[in-house]
Amino acid sequence: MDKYYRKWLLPISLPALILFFAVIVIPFVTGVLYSFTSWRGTYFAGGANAFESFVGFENYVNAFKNEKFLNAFVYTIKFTITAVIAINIVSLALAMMITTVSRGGAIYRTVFFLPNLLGGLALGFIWQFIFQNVFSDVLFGPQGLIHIPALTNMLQDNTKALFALVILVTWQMAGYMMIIYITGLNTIPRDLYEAAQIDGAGALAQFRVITLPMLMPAITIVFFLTLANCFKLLDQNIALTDGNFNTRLLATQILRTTRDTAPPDYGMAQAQAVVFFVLIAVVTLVQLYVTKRREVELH
Amino acid sequence: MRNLAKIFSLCLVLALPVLSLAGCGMDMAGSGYDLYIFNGKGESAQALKDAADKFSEETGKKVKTFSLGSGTSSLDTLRAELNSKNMPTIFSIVNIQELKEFEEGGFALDLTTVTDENFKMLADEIPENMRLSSNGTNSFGVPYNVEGYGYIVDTRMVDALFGEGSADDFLEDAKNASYEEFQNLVIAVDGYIKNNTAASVVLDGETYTLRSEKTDLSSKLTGVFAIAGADKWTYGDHLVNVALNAVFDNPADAAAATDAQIASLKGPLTAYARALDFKTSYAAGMNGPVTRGAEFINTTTANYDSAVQIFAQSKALFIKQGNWAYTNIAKINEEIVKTLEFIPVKLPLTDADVTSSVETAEQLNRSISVYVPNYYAINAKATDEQKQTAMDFLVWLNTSESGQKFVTEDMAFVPYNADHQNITTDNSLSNSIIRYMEDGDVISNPYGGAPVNWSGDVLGLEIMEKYLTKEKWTEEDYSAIAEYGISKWNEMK
Amino acid sequence: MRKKVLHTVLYIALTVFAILTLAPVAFLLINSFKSQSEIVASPMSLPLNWDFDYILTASQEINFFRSLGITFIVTVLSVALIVLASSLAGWAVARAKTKTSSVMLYMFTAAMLIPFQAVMYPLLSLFEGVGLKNILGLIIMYGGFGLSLSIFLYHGFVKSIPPSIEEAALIDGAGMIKTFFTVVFPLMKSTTATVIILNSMWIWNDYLLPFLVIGNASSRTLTLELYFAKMTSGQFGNPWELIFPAVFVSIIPIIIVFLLLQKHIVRGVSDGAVKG
Repeated sequence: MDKYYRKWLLPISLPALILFFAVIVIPFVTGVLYSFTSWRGTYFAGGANAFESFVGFENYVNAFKNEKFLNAFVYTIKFTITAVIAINIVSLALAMMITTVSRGGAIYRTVFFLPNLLGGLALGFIWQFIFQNVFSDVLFGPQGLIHIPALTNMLQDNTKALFALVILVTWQMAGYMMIIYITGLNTIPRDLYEAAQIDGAGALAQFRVITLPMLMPAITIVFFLTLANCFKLLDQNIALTDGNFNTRLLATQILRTTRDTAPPDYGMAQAQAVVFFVLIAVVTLVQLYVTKRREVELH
Repeated sequence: MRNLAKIFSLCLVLALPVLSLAGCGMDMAGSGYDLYIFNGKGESAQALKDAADKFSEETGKKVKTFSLGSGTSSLDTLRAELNSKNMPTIFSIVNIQELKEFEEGGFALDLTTVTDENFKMLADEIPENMRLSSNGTNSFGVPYNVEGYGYIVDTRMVDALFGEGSADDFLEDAKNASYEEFQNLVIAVDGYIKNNTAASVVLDGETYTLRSEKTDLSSKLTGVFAIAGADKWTYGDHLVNVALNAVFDNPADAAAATDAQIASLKGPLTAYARALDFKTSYAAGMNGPVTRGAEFINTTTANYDSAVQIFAQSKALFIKQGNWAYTNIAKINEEIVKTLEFIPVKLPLTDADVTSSVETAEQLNRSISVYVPNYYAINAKATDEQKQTAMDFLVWLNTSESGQKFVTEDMAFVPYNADHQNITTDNSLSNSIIRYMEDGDVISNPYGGAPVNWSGDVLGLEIMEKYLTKEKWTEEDYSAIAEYGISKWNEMK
Repeated sequence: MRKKVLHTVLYIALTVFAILTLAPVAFLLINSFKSQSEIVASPMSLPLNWDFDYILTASQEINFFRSLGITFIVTVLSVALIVLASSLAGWAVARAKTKTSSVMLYMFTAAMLIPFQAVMYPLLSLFEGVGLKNILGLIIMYGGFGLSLSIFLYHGFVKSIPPSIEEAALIDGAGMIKTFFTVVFPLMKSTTATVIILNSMWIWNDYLLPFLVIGNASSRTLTLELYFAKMTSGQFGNPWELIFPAVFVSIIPIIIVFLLLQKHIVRGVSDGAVKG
């Protein structure tokens, strides 16, 4: 039987392989190649093809000398850390509340999941107005409901804009992650808590000793998803600040690099994209390794 | 789950035939026109479309036009279009910096190599100093038009402030006034708006006294200048450009700037910063004066459109804008557009600061910036047939009577090739520009030759982020702005 | 008693969160019926009159029915392609326990780490070169981008079911393809549902890929229409009286679908995560 499967492995995987090579592998390899050339998007400078305009590591050196790229690098890391923490806390809190209440959980779950259905672009338009007009004037402005200067004009300041973006993505992603946490919480046997209560453990101790360890698989997944999504965030960044005030995230930076010079430096944009790939790969693999190990230790 | 599977298969059955229909539709779109114009100037979108329709009507050729909104970067879209099968035959290039990409990539057709007689004549007649040229002999574009900008002022408002019939003299004297006199004017009007103090000011030797009672019109004023703090091109590109004229004659001159020229920007850029500080201290808002701060650069309430609106509703005396704003102003207030005029943007320069061929600070302060904002380029990779249609269209637009009608009336442009002695348009601002051209009181647009993004996205951004949100500017700030501009220029050139 | 208090507190907290979550949507709703000046002047209040003109104008502006149809076609066909290709591959990779199959699995899974930006520009050149810079090409691209996660999910599922059933069919003389469609594929339906849901959700709302592939051609997706509606409107930098109703009508279909299928969607999301 095994022989039979082996014989059919390639023919049956053929549609997937063709798609995969056409859409991912070939462009990715080409992209890595182009990152070593002075590619201009519509043509190659200094030659008729990629090989004739080979420039070695120049694009990479330039990328790491590029102030905007370095800023975007740091800003992306700051944003991702803040957003991952915020999303995890909110989604876990929502999940625990919903699993604790006896009735109506389904309705709340539906409501919290709703923002996930809306595209980043549409959301960005609405939130831009909310931050610029509603927050800055109606709610928290000098003549507003309560004057909170930190919540006004959030899109005109590097640090405030980071939190504006965190608010937006938390609003958007928390519902999705909440679903995963609910599934995780439902797998924890009730009697564990009952036993702990008999032993006299408080709510906090129960959370630390039972909930957290038992939830580790879900935490791994949520961390993985939030990390990946926040690292690659683009639409919302463009819609809110369009990268002004040094608020470019890496994805935006790569997209906008071609606007920074004339002729547009697609070669350097491609080099930045390769660095971006390495960064994502390293961070996610390390994260998976660490959380998986914790899962094992806790079990 | 079974339900879901059923729903999905139903969707599939529905989708397949529609795709084949869509496929046919796409093919038809591909061959549905003879000429595709990619227009980079959003303001003239509708007028260009109308002109194209008229051209179709006269020649039977089908024309497709596409424009993005004003102030939007259309380059990404243009690149995508140039890379596609249905690429545009006519596209637009803004300046010699942008030209680099399209020349190097072989997209821009050198008009001096064209053999078609009518078009050759058109191309040869483009004035030397208006050509889009990378080396002085080639030429890659037909100018859209010429544009100019300065402080736009409503002459009825001048009458309302200084008495009926004062506008004509005021315009002449304000044009010749020194920066200090202009400053006094702004301070006096500001005091009048806020405290009803009817002071007198002297402009070029003449005394103007504010009326003791405000009129209906002048009581609408909330400040002296309408300012778009969120649109950095207004104070980045355009205001900086005035200062650059002190050193450079034109874009080509700026593109080939020497170290000494760049260093000598210190004085003009300091004057620029000082003037901007002054100007932004007297800003008008929707419901009262506005001051610098985060609100000053709010992208929904302090953008170009809101500034235009503030001015069009007579809430500000001046707006620094060009004749392209005419149609936008008209949309808000039909009345005001008939009585608009330009006065020059003035900077606190000394003659020592002015090393370009403008020669004196006085001459610079009495001139407005007039230049070609955009060029029609022909796609060298198009088929010969497409190129021919493109040339026919450009010849028609710029020489035929019906084509010119669209240029001067619908687009409200000042044509680059018009005999300026003979034309007046329906557009008050264009007429004002033509008068400045007749008098020879015009300066150029060297910012078009500055390093890419230097004026708007670098210097303008620095000012937006660090200074427009700051209450008080100091001498050190002026100097820091100038130094920043110079060091960035050196870095980016 | 303590439990009752706790529950009351929780309900209050949940309701507050729910209100915060729904506020932007409600905000979108009320502002879809107002004029520009009314939106700017009083964004938080109910419209003076429920004027459907703005919604009608916006629907025309974004060619609502056409763009909805195009988005629908693109999403459905892309997802169908993903389901077909990845269920076959996931099955084959899980069953053939060879070096090649594990290399393939690693390759498919590792591709999840490649950011779109790293392949974006070369992908477009490639597809342009072969004349696929159109809706068909867009569908193929989605097919490729959806593979990684989907193959991973199918692979995980197939590993959990014993091969005995399909082997019986194979021994009976049914071919590999026939066995797959008659025996294996029906078994996979819960995974298929997950794959459909997870992929539809991002493809429906995707903006960058349609922008790069279709650009300003006449057949635009819903998000693309929305983008161009905002970008080509000249007069006001932000024509809210157009943007709000346009966004509003553009999200109605997806909300309806969600409310109809929410049980499946929620299960799809949690299954996708747990197996992933």
